[in-house]
Amino acid sequence: MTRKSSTTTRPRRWGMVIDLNRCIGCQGCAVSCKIKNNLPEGLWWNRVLTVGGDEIDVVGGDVEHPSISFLPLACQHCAEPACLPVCPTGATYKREDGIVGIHSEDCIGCRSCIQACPYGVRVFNLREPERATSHALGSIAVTSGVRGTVEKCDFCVDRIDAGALPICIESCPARARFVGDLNDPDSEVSRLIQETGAVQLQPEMGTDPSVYYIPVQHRSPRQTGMDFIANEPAAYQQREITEMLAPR
Amino acid sequence: MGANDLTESSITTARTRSASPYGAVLSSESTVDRFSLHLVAQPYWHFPHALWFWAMGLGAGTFMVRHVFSVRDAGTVLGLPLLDVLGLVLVGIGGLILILDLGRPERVLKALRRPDRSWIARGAIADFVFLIVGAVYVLPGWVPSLPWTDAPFLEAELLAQVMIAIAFLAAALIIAYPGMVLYESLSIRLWHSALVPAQFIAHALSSSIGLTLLVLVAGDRLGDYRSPLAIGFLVTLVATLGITHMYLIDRSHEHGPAARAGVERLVRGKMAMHFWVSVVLGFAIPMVLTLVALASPDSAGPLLAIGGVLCVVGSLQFRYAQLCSGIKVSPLG
Repeated sequence: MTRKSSTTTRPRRWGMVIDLNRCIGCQGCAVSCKIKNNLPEGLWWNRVLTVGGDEIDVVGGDVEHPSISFLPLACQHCAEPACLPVCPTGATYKREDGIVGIHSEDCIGCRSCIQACPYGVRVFNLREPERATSHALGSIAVTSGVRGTVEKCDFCVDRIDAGALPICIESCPARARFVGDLNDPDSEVSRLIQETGAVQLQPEMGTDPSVYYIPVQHRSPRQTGMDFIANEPAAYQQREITEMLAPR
Repeated sequence: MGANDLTESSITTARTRSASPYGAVLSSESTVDRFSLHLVAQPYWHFPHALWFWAMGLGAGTFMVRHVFSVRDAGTVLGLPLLDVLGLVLVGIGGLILILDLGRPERVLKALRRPDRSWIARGAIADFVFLIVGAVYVLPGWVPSLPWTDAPFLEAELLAQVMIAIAFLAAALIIAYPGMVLYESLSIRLWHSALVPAQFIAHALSSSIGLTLLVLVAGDRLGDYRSPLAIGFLVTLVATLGITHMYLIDRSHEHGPAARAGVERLVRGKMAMHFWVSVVLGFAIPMVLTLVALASPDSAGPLLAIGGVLCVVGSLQFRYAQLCSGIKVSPLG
């Protein structure tokens, strides 16, 4: 889409802002993406990483200072994508509106793009896809799970082109995600970036990602909903264990 | 080896930055602080890719060495000039490894599509050109009625000279492009240095002179080629070591932790044994042997042959160590 915005002559550049203060790590975006794009087992275009503990949904820090937040991670749809120039076939492409996609029928599976991508968001179909259901789910416009090819988040281009929101945004119960035109200074995403100091991942790579994150401002237990754990760790743990062991 | 296998002290997560030798660096990077990024080893390119890069460089370099040094009587195999056949076979092996490593090998011709932007595409085109033109050039060994011979460039007919020139240019691209492929991997900072392509060229030339020396000594045909090839070997070995040294210094001073973690892994970490064995046995000792060979012509043959073998093997080992030391900063732990 190359619609000119009302306040700028630059073409539209789709972008996303994710408020990490709002993300509750429910994995709703990851699961809805997986279903909508009919992704086979083991492949995720969109993941929600836990920042804090060593495992998913595990709190980090110590007992007195627990810390946890979440990092939803998918293709950053960079303005200068590192994956683009390394693709020998032209399978990886960038649209005029900034969305980076893959023509899976042209991918030879050399994985140069995976090597080049600083964000680790491209996935490789090593073997024949296996799915939990015997029938396809999600959008018929999406090709996924082609053995021997690389794939990744396509910004729900089928939905975007049809005027709908990407599925990860629509499914987010915490309303942590925002989408819009980065080239339009009046858009919600531009305003959020300006007002909240949202940042890009690894800007030093020079890829100019189109996904911005509003960093967690205060990692206090109260904000993460764990003030009770912080204040009464022993009592909390005891109560939890008691409840677990209590006869029902 | 997968990212989860990283256990050495040089590979740490940003979360444990207080214990990290790169703590100060990580702490200074706001995104690392905010998002808990990790240093992880690249999981895809290991020995097969090292073999691909090495075989391509060695094969193309051997063809170039034969014509630069006008080696006309290195022996034949099945009636074809041995050194040219070695070059073609090695490049063919490299190409085969590349094709077999693809997720969709049957689509390999699509890799020729975008030479305007991809070094893999440029290299793939160069591979095909080299193999086709090189194969035609050596054909007179089987078809003597063809209007050219398989003599080296300076002694060849015009038609053969054109073919050699085309194959030579393709060979030059072949020895350089793996380095450019690594350089293009923006996220793996150990490879993202302009010295990497230079290093690949130096490695290819030194190891291919080493292979040429080995072939000539084994066939008892060293003769007049001893001095020029030994000097060429010495120069390329010195260049290889010099560029490697500059490369390590360059990467050690790059801003950000990934390049330094890569150097650490290469020089002191998990790949250190491969690295030091390749540098000492593959380049330093051949350099000494070549110096001795130049000083004592009577024993030059065996010394140069040993140096050649060590350099050929060391070059492969270096490629492997360098690939396995590729580390990126990633949100994925």
